[in-house]
Amino acid sequence: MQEWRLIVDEGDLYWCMAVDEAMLQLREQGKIPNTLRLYRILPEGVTIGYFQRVEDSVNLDYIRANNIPLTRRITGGGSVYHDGSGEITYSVVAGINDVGGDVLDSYRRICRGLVYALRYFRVRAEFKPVNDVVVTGRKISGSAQTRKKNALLQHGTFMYATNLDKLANCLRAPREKLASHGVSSIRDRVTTLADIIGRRPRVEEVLEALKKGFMKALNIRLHPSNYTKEELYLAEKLIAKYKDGEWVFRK
Amino acid sequence: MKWGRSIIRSKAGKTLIVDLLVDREGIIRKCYISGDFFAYPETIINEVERKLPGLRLGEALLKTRRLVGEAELLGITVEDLLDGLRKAYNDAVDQKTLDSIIR
Repeated sequence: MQEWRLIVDEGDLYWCMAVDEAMLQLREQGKIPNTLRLYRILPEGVTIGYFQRVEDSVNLDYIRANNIPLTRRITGGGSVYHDGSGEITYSVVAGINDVGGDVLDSYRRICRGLVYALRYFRVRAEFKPVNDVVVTGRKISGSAQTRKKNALLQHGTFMYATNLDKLANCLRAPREKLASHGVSSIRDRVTTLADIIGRRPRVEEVLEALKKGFMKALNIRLHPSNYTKEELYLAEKLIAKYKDGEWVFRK
Repeated sequence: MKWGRSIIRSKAGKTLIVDLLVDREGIIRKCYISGDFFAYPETIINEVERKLPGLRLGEALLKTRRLVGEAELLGITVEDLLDGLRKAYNDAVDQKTLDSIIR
């Protein structure tokens, strides 16, 4: 059984995205071990996918009026509202061979960690390809993966008590997309763990369930650890990019 | 010169948006391919965006197929992408220009 590093932390949006990218680069170079990172984006933030255009995917007026940090991810996929007080973001940084399979297989395998985590709350969830975890058809988690030659980064959300009204205010989806899900608004196609179990779980419970879920899904042991000096240095350097309008408004 | 746009919803439930700026001769001047899909490596989409300007639709489709053939798309297919390019192009180009290009 492989032993992976576990890092639990929190920070603002730019720092959180910069650390994920730093970890991917250093894992690619073989300088850090496989890592599960569980974090909170404080106080909140919005990310858009690598290929998205800002105007099409978020409600920029609302985000600006409410001073919500916004950035672009290095991973594809859709726009995300990160609620620091109701969502845990996870990232898996690992050797491609250590996760195994093709791209879709690796999404399935990593997302199984979220499905197992929900099981500890007696909630039956399923992986919905390409990159969602759903409970009774409603999305509770979305993930996105990017790959280099040897290493992959997959990060995603675990909405245990996300403010869904705020989420719906921040995000924008073309009407064509909503029609394909058979519902009329973003608000109707998402859910949270709190909504399902009828109480607000404590963060500690959620973290514990996620740890166990990923250990089981990836067949690994976890040892709590922290960033290397090189990771911190690289992440600090990458923050500027995530704050840069040229990057965020690239398209 | 006119912008044309197409929005395609893929079978996998992802959205693909193509924006093309096409001049009066029917030549693509600018290209944006966006949406919530995945591509490996991601840079292949930047490459398509960079290489289509200067081309007409037929050449653009061939070029795109060739480039994307070496990558892996997830959530959309190559056919979705070509379909999106065609629709955005037709949206940008009026019938008179289209007739003169075909002739």
